[in-house]
Amino acid sequence: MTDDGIKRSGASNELQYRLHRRHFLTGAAAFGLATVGRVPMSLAAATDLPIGSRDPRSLVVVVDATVENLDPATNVEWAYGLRPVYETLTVLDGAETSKVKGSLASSVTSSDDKLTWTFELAEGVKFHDGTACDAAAVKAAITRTIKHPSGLGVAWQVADPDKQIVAKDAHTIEFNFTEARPFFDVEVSSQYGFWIASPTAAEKNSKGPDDMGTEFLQSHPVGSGPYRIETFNPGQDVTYVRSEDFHGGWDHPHFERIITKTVPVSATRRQLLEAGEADIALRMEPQDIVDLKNDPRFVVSDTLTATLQYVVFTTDGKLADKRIRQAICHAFDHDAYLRDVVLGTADKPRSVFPMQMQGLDDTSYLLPFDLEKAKALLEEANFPAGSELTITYYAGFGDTECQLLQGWLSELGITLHLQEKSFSAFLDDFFGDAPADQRADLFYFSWWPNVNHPYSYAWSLFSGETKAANGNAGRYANDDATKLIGELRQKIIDDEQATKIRKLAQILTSDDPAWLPIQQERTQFISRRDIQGMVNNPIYVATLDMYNLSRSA
Amino acid sequence: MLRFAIRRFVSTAFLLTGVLVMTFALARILPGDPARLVAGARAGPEAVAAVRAQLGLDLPLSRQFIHYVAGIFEGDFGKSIITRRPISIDILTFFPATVELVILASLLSLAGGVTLGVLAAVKSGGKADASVRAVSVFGLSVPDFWTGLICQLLFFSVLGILPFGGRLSTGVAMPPQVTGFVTVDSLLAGRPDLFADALHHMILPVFVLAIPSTAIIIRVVRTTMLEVLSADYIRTARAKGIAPLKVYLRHALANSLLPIVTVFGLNMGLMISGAVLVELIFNLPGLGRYTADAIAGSDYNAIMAITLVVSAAYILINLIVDLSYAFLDPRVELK
Repeated sequence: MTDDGIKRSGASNELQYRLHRRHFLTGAAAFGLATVGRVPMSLAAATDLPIGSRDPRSLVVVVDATVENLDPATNVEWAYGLRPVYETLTVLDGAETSKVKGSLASSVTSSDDKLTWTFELAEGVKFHDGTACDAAAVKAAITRTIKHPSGLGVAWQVADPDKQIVAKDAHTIEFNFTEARPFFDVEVSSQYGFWIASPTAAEKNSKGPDDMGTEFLQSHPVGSGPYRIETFNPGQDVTYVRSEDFHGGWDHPHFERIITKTVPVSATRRQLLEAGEADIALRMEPQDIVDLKNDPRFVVSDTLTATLQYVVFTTDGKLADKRIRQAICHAFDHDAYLRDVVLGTADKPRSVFPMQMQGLDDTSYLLPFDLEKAKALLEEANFPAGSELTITYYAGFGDTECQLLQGWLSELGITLHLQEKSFSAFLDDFFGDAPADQRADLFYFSWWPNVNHPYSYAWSLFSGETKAANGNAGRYANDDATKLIGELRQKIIDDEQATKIRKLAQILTSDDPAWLPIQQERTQFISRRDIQGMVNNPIYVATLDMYNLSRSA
Repeated sequence: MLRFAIRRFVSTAFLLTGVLVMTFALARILPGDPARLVAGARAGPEAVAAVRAQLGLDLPLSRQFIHYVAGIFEGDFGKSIITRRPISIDILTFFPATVELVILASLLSLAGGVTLGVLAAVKSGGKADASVRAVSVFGLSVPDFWTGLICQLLFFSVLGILPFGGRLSTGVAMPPQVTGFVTVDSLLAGRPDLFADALHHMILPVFVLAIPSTAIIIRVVRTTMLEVLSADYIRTARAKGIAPLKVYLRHALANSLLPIVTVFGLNMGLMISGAVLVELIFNLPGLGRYTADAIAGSDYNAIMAITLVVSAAYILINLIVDLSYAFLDPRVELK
C-alpha cells in the first residue's frame, strides 16, 4: 500500500482501475443530450405559460431585495413594499410626472397666492386598524413624520406642523405657508415621506421619542391602502391581502393577494418566471431583459425613469479647472457604452437633469466623445500627461463604468485609480467634509428627483449655498448656476423659467461641468403576458401600482 | 471529564471575549459612518446627526464598548442598520434556517461519506473504489455555487421535479414558529403536508451543501479503513471466520471513528460559515444570506453579533467532538 492508501497491483505499478475516458465521455454526452433535449421542449410551450397549482387570484412578484422597513416616516429604500399598503394625499396620474389625481384627498384647492392649500379627504376612509383616516388623523400622521428624529420630515418643508396644518373639519385639512408653494399638490404625491400611516398604531406601539412607533410599523404597517400585510417573513416574502374596506372599491378584477418574494439572483428570478412560478420580475440583468424581450410569453414594460447615473467631479481639488472636467466629459463614449455594455437597456442622458424635467426640450447638452478635443483642453489647462486621479464607487455599482472611463482616460495620459468602497464608507466620503486632497477626485453615484421640478432637484446638488452633506458632493459652486437655481425656487415652469433651466443645464453639463452624466436608467418590469394594467411612472422608481393589476382570462 | 469540560468552557469564555474585543475594534476601525447608512443618502445633516446620537455613536469608544458588552449579557446585540430590527430577533429568525440546512447536510454527508468510504476501502483497487474516488475528487474540486446552479437548472428548470429553493412553496404560510426549523415546526403543528413540502424544498440545498463534506469524509474513511483493515486483529477476526460485514462494521469502522468524528465536527462548523452561497442560490433566508447582506451593507452591529454567534457555535461543536472521544474510545482519557 502506498502513502495515499491506494492499492496497486503487483504486476504493474499502474493504477488498476480508472474511470476510462471513453466511459466518462459517454456518460457526459448522455447527460448533455438529456439536458439539452429538454430545453427546447420547455421553451416550445410558447405563449401559453401555465401557473401550475398557484392560485390565479394571487400575484407573485419576484424582487431582488426585501423592503425591510415599512414605516413610511423613515423608509428610504424602494417604495414597492409601501405602495400596496399606504396612500398619499394625491398620486401621479398614470405615467404623468407633473399631473396628479386624488388619492386620500378627493379634491385639492389653493389660494391664488399659493400660500394656503386645502385638501378635502375622501369620506369613510379607514386605516387597516379600523381607526378613521380623517383630517385629525392625517394631521397627526404628517406631524409624526415631520417630528420623527430620523424621519423624512424635511421633505414637507413645514416648520411648525402644529400651527401650519389645520384640521378644519373631519374631512378638510389645510396647510398654511409663509412662502408660496405653487406645486404642493404634486409634492405630496412623492413616495418618500408622504405616505400616511395610522397615528393610532404608531402612538400605541411607540417605544419613546426616538422610536415613535417605527419599530412596530416597519414590519406591521398600518395604512389605508388597498392591501394590508398578511404575513411578513424577513428576507423571504411578504404577503399582502386585500383590504375589504378600501375606499377605492373592488369592482375591477383586482388580485386577492400579492406576494413579493425576495430572490437575490437575477438568473433565478428569470427561471421562476419561465417556470410559471412568478408573474412579474423586477430588476433583471441586461442580458436577461434582452432575452426575455424576445420571448412571446412575456411582456417587458419598458419605461424611462428619472434616475441618472453619473460621475461627480470634486471641483475644489485637482479638477478645479473646468477645462479638465470638460476633457473628462469628452473622454466617455456613451454610444459604445450603451450599445455594448448595457445592451440598450438604458438611455443616453442629455444633461445633468433627467430628460423629463419640466422646462427642458430635446436639446442635448452632453459633450460629445472626442479624444482630440479632450487632449487639447488638457493642454490648455496645463494638466500634464501622467497625471493621476482617483474615482470612488461602492461595491456592486459603477465598477464597469469606472473601468471604461479608466481606459479612455489612459488614452489621454491620465491614470485613473479605481477605489471600491463599502456603501457605508462611500457615503461617508461622498457626503463628508474632508479636504479635497483627502478624498476622491471623482465619485460614481445615482440620483432621481422626488418631484419633477428643477429647483427641488438642483438646489441640494449644485447650488453654491449647499454643502456635500446636502448632496453637493462635488462642492460645486458656479455663481451663475447658483443664481439661476435660486430664481427657480417655488416657480411654476413657464417659458421664462424654462429658458432658465435650459441655461442651467448648459452650465452644469457642458460650460462648467458638475457631473459627467453616464446613463439615464430605464425601468424594465418583466411580466407574464396575462398580467394586465402595468403602468410605470418615471418618478415612482421601481414600484408598481399593484391595485390596478389583474390577470386576463 | 467534568473538570475537562469546565476547563474547556472557561477557555471558551476567554476565546469569545477575545473575539468580542477584536470584532468591536475592527468595526470601529473600518471606514464608514453607520449613521449615514441608517439615515439614508437623501437625509440631511441634521437627520444624520440625530441618528448618530440615537445609535450612541457620538459617545466615547470606551463607553460604546461598555454599553455593547452590557447589552450582550442581556441578549441585546443592538439594532441592525439594514433591517432596523433588534439583531437578537434577526438571529432567531435567520439562524434556524441555517442550522436546519447544516444539520441535514451534515447527516447526509456523514451517511454518504461513511458508506462510500467503507465501500471504497473494502473494494480497494476495484471499479467501485475508482468510482468513489472520482466522486470524491469531483466533490472537492467543483465549487458549490456551480453545482447549485447546475442542479437548479437541471432539476427545476429542465426536469421540473424539484423546487428552485425557498423553504416552502409560494403562497404557503409558514407553520407557527417553535424551533424555527420548518420541518420540525410543521410536525409540531400537525401539518404533514407542510413537512413534505419543506423536505421537498430542502433536497437540493442539502445535497449541494453536503457534497464537499461528503468528499472529505469519503477520503478520511477510506484511508483510515484501509489502514485498519491491514491490522493484525482484523486478520485474526477474518481467520476466526467472522462474517465480512461484521468485520468491516464492528471491527474496522468502529476503530476508524475518531478521525471521522473530528472531520465531521470541523465540517459542520465550516458549513455554518460556508452556507452563504448555497443560501443565496437557493433563496434560503438563513444566517449566511443575512451575513452577506450585513457585510455588503457595512452593518457592523450585525457583523459583530454574527461573528460571536458563529464562533460560539464552532467552539461548541468542537467541544462536543472532544467530549465524544471518551464515549467512542474507552482508551481516551480527557484531561
